[in-house]
Amino acid sequence: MMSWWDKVKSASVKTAGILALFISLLCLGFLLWDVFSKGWNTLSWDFLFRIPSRRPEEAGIKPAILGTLWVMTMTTILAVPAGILTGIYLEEYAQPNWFTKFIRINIANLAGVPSVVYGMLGLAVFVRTMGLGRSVLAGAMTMGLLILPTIIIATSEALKAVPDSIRFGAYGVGASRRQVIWYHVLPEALPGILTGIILSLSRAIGESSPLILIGALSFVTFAPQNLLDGFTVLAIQIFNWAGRPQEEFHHIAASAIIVLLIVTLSLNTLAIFLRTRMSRRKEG
Amino acid sequence: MPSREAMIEQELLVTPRILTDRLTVKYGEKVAVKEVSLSFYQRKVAALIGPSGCGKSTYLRSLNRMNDFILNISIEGKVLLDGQDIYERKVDPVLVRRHIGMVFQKPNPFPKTIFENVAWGPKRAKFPKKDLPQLVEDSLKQAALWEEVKDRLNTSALGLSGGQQQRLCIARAIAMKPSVLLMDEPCSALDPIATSRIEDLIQELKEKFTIIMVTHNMQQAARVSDVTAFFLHGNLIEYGATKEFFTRPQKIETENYLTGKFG
Repeated sequence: MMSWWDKVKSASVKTAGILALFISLLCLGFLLWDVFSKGWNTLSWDFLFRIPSRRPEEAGIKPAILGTLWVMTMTTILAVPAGILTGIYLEEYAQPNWFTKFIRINIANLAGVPSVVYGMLGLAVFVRTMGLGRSVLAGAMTMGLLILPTIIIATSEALKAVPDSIRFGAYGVGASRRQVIWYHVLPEALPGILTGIILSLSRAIGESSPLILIGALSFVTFAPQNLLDGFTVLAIQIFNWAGRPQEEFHHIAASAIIVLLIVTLSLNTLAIFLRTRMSRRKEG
Repeated sequence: MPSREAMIEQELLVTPRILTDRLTVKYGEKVAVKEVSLSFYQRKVAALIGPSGCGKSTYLRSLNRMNDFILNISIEGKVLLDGQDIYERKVDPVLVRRHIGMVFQKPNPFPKTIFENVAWGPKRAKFPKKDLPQLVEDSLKQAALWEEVKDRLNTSALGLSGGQQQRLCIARAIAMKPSVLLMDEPCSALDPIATSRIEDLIQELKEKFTIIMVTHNMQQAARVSDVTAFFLHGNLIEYGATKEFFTRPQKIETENYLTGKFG
């Protein structure tokens, strides 16, 4: 039998929880309402295929979309293989001694470093020291470093979740370590690894500060032609328009935000889809 | 004059297929198996019994180098498979495991099709691809599973019952045509009916393989094995023909264990 005081306590916790939930939903709802009410009318197919202009009614986001594609593709190419291989090494090959422990802790810490710090690093190392300038390549390398720890962690967690009984079963029929990893461990871990990669890419798409720091251009009327060209991305384009005094630019900034939201939400949906497919297969 | 084959057969019955010579296994400082010398022969089922933590499973896993994956483990003494020490430097543990198959405590089929489960090991050992279907069929027949699964070879192995999964694991092991088959409490996760099917199967398989099984279940050891070894605290206490072993144990510890004075 619960005393009245216990009932009050349990009811107040419940109420506080619901309240907190409503506050965050309310904020999200307000944000969406604000963005859609401002940006919906200026959003059109044309908007996606026009280049930026000094006149907001003629401006579009084609260079930003292409720049985002260039940077994200290069980021993927640079960070994903390195991240997966590092994860495999740490989980399947490295002896668990103080050194690998030290590396693991540091990778976890790196995942929490503010993105602007990666921008500083990119500016100092890629833009200046390596002389890559404000190029797609420098941007992609900076973004690659930013998401590398997340990919490594996602890979190692996914590998850890593969039951040892599968490994032993494969070793038991005379498989080498490489065969065990390649044919059994990786296929089992793949949905988890992919989920981690997609989520980190969708985070990177929305990042602007590291790219602003390395000096990505904000007014670009062309799409990059090669890796050493200057570029802009959606997030920077939004940042630029939102900072202008004219009301009309705020509206097209909101339209660009809607585009960015659609892209990241679709990526997140893909990640959720992969994860549920994985858990269903485990049960079946 | 007996035929050549018959002579080889005879030879195999008197020469151990696999033996350990003062095998000691330590986890760090802790001794798990202490100077155990045992020989196992063709066409015989050997049962290793003893209370939990007596070292019987550790001993079994040392026979196909499954303990290699455990950190801080050290192994002294010899394990001879047909006269070859499997712990010698030049020996590849991967090849050892192709000659000494293993069935685990919990059925652990690969999350792949039934066919793939059996065919995967032979494929890695460069078994000719065109002969694979025949090999899979033969192995499943030997594991007494063929009739139940022949119409659904391409469905997931995870859809099988626990007992079927364990027989699939046996088929997977014998598809490699090993000379020795290790079984680590193969029935502990199964119901009585599935258990008795596996026990019958072991009787059939011993015609072709040297079988060494760990079991918790003394009745099972008495039913299926030809020889029994009793382990206690990492020591081999007694080893002998199963009938003798259960009716006239030589050591007081064995008698106490068999009569349930400790367990």
